[in-house]
Amino acid sequence: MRRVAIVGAGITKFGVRQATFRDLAAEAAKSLFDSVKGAVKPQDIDGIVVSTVMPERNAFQSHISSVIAETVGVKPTSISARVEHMCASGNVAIRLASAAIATGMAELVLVLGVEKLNTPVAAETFLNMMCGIDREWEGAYGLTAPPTFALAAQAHMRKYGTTPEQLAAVTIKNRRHAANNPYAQWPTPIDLAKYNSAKPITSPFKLFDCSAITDGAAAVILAPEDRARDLTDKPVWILGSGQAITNFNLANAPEGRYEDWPALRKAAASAYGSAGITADDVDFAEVHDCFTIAEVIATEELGFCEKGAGGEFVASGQSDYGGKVVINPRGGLIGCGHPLGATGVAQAAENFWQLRGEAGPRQVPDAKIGLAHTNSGMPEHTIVIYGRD
Amino acid sequence: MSQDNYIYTIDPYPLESADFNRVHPFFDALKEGRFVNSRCQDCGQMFWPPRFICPNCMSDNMKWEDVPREGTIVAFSVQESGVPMGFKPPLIFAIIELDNGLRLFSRIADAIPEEVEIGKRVRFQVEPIPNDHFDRVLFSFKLA
Ligand SMILES: [Zn+2]
Repeated sequence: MRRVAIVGAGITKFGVRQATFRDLAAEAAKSLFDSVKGAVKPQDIDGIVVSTVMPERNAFQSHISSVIAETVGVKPTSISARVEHMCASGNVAIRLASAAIATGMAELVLVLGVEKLNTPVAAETFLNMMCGIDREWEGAYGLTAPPTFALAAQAHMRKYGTTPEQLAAVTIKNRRHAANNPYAQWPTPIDLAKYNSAKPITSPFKLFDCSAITDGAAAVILAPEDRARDLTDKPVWILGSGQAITNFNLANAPEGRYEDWPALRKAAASAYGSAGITADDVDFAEVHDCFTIAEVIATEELGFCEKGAGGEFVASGQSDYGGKVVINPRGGLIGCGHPLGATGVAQAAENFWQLRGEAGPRQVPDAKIGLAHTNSGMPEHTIVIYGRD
Repeated sequence: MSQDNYIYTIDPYPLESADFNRVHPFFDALKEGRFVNSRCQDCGQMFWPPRFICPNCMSDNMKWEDVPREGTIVAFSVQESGVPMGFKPPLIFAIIELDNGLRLFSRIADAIPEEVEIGKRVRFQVEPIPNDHFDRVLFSFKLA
C-alpha cells in the first residue's frame, strides 16, 4: 500500500454567501490551485471525490461529481464519486480517496467538499435537515439535530455534573480561535454575558451552543508518496483513520445512554492504531463541535481526558493554546459555521496549514500530529490523523 | 415569501397507504387507535422502528402485535426556536420506554414544558396530521 499525502489545500469564506452551490465549488478550487502556484493544475488531476450532503434539496442538483468536475476543469480518468455521510461526509471522502490512491486505483485526487444551505426561507433548510435523521420515524415529528444533542447534554449534566458555564467555555474558546481565521463565519469573540443572553433553542441549548447554517466549500489534493515529494517540500501525511457506527434511530442508543459514545471510542482506537500513536501524541485536533456538548464528549472519548471530565477540561484551558492539546484552532463548527459536506475537508485543510507551519496567528507551535473528527450523529464517528515529516 | 404557500417536493410525513408502504399495518392500526409493532416469528425479536423483514435473522415472517400504551420518559428536550417549516414551537421531544422495555422516539403533546420531567409516566395517543390531504396520522404521548 502506498502512503498518501495532502499536497495542497483551498477554502472559501464560510457564511451566508451570495453564491450558488457551483460557485462555491469553483471558489474553493481557485483557492486551492492558486495556492499551489502551478505545481498542480486541474488538467493534472485524474480523480475527484465530492463531499456534499443535500444538493438534491437545497440546490436541486444530483449527478454531483460530474457537475463539479466540469466546473473546476477536471476530466476524471481514475475515479469520480460523490460521498454523502451527513456531517461526516468530508472525512469519509478523504478516507475513500486515500484508499483509492493507496491501492493504486488513482494518482492525484481532488477531494472537494461543498454545501449550499442558506435559502430565502430559513425554515425550509431546517425542514431539509430532517433528511439527516430518521425522517419517517423522527423527522415527521419535527425533529432535527439540535434536540438530539440536547439529550446528550442533559444526560451528561445529570451524570457528570457538567455545567452551563463549562458548555459556554467551548463557545468562548472556539469563537476566540475563529477570530484568527479569515474564512470563519463568526470571526468575532463573544463573552459569557453574551452567551447567557442568547435566545433558547432547545433545552439546555441556547443560540451560541449551536453551529450555524452555513454555505462554504473546501478542497484538498491527495497524492501518493512519490508524486507528493515531487509536488511539495512539505507533504502532510495521512497517518491513519477510523470510522464506527452503532445505530441510527435515537431510540437505539447503546444501553439507552446519550452521554456515552462508544462508536467514537471504537473509531478512535482504529485511528490511533492505524497511525501507531496514542492520544498523548496529538498536538491539535479539529473536533466536531456541532453543539458545545459534542466537543465536551469528543474530548473524553478521543482520550484527551477522563470520561466525564470534558467540561472541566475545556473550562480549565486544557484544550486551548498552552494546554494539553489545542482543540479546534480554526474555530471549529461553532466559530467557522458548518457547511455540512465541506466541514471535514476544511478540517483537512486546517491540518495541512498547521502541520506546514502556515496557520498564521492561529498556528499551534511546532505541531507534528493533528487529528480531524466529525460525527454524523451521536452514534457515528469518523476520524483522520495527519502528520508531517 | 410566505411559508404557507411555499411548495416543497415532498412533505416530511411517512407514506402510510398500502400502495406505497410495506409497514402500512402499523398505520392502519394507528388509524383504529391501536399501537402495534412487528415481532419476528423466527427469532422472537422486536425492533424500533417497525420492520417487515427482521434485521437480526432476515426472516420475513413478522407478525403485528399490540404493544403497551403506557411508558416512562427517559430523556427529553423542549425546542423553542429553529423548528422546521410546518411545525410550531415549543416542540417537546422525548425518548419513551414502553412498559415492555421497548424504547422509541416521540413527542409529548399538550403539555406545559415545565411539567415534563425524566421518569414521568406517559400515555400513547393518536393525532391527525394537520391539514393533510391524505388523512394521515401520527402518534404522540401525553403526561399520564
Ligand atoms: Zn428474526
